[in-house]
Amino acid sequence: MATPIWQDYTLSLGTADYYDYRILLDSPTGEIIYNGRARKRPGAVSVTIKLNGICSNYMSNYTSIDKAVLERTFVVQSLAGGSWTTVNTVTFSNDWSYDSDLLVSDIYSFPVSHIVDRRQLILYATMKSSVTVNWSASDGTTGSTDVEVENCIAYIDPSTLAEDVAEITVDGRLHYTVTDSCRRYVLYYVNERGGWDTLLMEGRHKESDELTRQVISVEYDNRYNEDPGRRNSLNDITHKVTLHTGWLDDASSMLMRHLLNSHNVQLFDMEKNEWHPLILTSTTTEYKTFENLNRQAVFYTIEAEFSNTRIRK
Amino acid sequence: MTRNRITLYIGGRSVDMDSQSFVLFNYTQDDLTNPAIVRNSYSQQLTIPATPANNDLFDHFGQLDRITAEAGFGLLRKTPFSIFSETGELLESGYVRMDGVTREKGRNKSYKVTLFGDLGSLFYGYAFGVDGTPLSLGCLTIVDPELTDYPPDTEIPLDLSEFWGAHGFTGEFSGIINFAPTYAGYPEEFDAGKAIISPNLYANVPSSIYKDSTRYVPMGGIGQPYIINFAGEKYDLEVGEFRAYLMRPVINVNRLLRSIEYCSSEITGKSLVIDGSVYSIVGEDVIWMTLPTIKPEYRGASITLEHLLEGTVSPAAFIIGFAKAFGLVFHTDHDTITMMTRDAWYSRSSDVLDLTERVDIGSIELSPVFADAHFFDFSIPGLGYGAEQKKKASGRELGSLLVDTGYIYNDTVEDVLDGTPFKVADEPRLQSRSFIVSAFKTNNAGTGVEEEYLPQTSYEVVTAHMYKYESGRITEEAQDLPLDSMPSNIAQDMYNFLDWNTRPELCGDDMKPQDGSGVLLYYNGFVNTPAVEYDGGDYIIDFPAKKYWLTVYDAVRIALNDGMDCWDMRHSGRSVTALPEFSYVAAGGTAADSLRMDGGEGIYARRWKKYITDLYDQDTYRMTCRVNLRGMQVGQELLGRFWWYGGSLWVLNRINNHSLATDDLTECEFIRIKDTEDYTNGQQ
Repeated sequence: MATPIWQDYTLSLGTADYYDYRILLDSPTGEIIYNGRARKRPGAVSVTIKLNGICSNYMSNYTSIDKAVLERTFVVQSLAGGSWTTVNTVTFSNDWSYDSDLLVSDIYSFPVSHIVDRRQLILYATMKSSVTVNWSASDGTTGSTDVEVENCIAYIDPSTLAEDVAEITVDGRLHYTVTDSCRRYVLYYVNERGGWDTLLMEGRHKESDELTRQVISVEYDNRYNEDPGRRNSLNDITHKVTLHTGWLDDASSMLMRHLLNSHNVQLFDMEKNEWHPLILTSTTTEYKTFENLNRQAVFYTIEAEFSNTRIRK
Repeated sequence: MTRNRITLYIGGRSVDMDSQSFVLFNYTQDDLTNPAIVRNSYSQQLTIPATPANNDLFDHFGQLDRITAEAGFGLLRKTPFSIFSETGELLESGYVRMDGVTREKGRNKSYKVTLFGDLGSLFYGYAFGVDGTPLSLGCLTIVDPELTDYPPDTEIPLDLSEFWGAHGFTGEFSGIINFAPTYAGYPEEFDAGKAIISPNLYANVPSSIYKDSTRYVPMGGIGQPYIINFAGEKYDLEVGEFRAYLMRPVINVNRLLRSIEYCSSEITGKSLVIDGSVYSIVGEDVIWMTLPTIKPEYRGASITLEHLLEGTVSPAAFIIGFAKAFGLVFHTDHDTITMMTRDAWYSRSSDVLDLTERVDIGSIELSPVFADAHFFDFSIPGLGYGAEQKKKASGRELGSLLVDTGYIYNDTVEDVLDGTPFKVADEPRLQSRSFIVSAFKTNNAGTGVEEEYLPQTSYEVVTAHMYKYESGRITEEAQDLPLDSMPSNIAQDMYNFLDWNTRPELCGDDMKPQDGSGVLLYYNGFVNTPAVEYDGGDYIIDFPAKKYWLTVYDAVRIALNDGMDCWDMRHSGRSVTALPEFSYVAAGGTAADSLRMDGGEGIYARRWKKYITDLYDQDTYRMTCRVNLRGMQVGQELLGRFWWYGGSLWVLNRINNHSLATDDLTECEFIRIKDTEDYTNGQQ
């Protein structure tokens, strides 16, 4: 069973005063990612090391939507008598939830909303090699298909299941309602457990550009009005977007942290069929409920910038 | 901020950079006010975020129990870097040094590294080996000489007894003879059967030696060293007889330069080309650089040139010192670095660039060049025990001397030269043994009459060798001591010896500056002290030193240069032992044992008046402004080009914080000049 990377994992190397040790990736013949010499703490019986700090660097690389890092294995060896001996093999899950209830969970998808647009790609993160997708159409027909899992992700395109698909159940646990919304944007994001989730932006959206203008003063001849004395030589443009969710119940609201605290968010434009990496700009995540909003309906506003800057010159 | 896509690679792997990690470059031209100049390449400190990929790249440097693996990132290993543009063009390359890591909440937060590019990577590559060990000149493959051998009739064939008699000693040969081995004269022939005896070692060396009715005179003229050929005899060079190994051999500088050039690509990864203009300075004549004495483990065996070069300075230190001494400049083109004279540098391109369309006139600031030139600063870094002691006593660096020029605003050059004599700023007086160190040279008659020349101004002391000294002879093996491990009384003597109260004087007999035709000289070499008492015996301490001095004494110029311009001094074909000697005189006392100053590492000279003229030119502006350098290849190449703006000519002196990743304007510093040809001439 995998250990969440957020939880401290210590290992005892032995009772000598110190040990040379190393950490290998994936197997005893894998790449050596760390060499250390750990000494016994005063008063301690044995030398102990903590693995999370080093191993987390190999769990959280910035991945794209065709790959999810869910689990990874690390081998710890110590040097004794001139040769390396395996002390322990540990498998970490890319779990940053700090939630003890998820320790034995094999669930990697936590979608906030179960409303999806027909044009929207559903991503399901899992350690399985394939998942079963059951669907039903508005005319009553039903079907089932097995979707292959690649790099821990199953890609489910509603439009390929049936022309008029209305309901989808993934892996027997996640149920989606397929709509023909008139919305434009969908967010894809890495959740707390390293899997990808998706959320249709059912509310309104607003876009803007923030400019930094570079203006320089230059020599000019004042006999000619068209000769400028100051020039706008360069504009640095940051494109911003403000998105809104639809109305959420309390349970869905509690899942918004997966998105709002995510470090990897992508925007999909369903009209232009374009992807845009985003940087979320909010520094506060509020856990809204119907009660703590004084009995008002819950929705969220998401402020973000496009990652890629633009210029005009 | 706009970002042009550049990629930094360290150790062949791309580096994650955040929006604050701009890679900014500074390029610096020679400081107009600094007469001892070498152009530096850039070194740029960079902060790199501790992303997972970067942590892996640096092998988790900064983790508290980390140890360096055999392979992978290590502090002493030269880790290359390169920066590519999005079009695949190599913008900069060199080596990376890890300066530190910032940690926060128990995790690495960022890494501080320094990128050494271009010239910096050449120096770094020539200073440290791949495994981080310091290099010496012994790392070089010495190329074949291109010199003409000295005529054979300058060698005097003597057996040992004849030599003993010719040397002025009577009786049977016995005891100990000190002389320089032929390494000092013939670096291509390390033959124990040849020797050089220098008049600098003994006062009674005859002006000529007769053998078989043939009169032999020293190579280079009377008063110069003899080359003795012990015909058919071989002598043991071990302790007890010849002390040849106690003398410092020399190597031809020209040959050394060629060797450094030859080996550069293999050792540093950068190709170094030494322009013909540099070899023209050195010329066809012989310039020698003194090497350390032969190490004990090599004595008695067949001594090779490589043995002699071990323990010397690194090729980097040699290049830097040589360039500084002769005011050379470097032109870099990523993979190739060319060392050339300033004149050759400025002659590369006569095209003048138009600054008008590129400058942001709202950012222009002007300042006069001479505003801060009230004092000439002859600072050199002081190292070692003596320097530390001096620093504690005086509160300033050894050699950090400010010469008060007496400049008054609106004075002309002539006013300055005719005004107050140049004096050193006040220094604390030593409380004990105050030495007045003066220079003298044995006159041509070889009588040893001293002629006082001038005082030296400063020393840099790095390491010292101690030789036991008895009855005027060196009798025992030297100990090679770093200054900070020397016995305190020895160190104290050295401390006292470094007189702070000598003053450079730019004046004639009437204590007024002359017409500015005097000479500003910088000099590197070795000095050894008079005998100092230690452990029941007398020891001579020998240490490398640098000196600055100013003079208008015609006698000095003539004596040093045979009437030629000072920077032609080295063209006379003299050996190192013919260079000036210095003695010290205890206060109120008489001249004691001589201090030898040999070594031709660096003599840089410049006409004093030209120096003053440049410094006090009231029309010389320094202009800083922001410039649009888009479309230009920015680097060392751009420095030294001439520009036109506002009706005047300017030279680009400095480029500050130029970013390859943005389209921001770049801060540049220009120096106004009167005339391009005038600027390049007389700069050497």
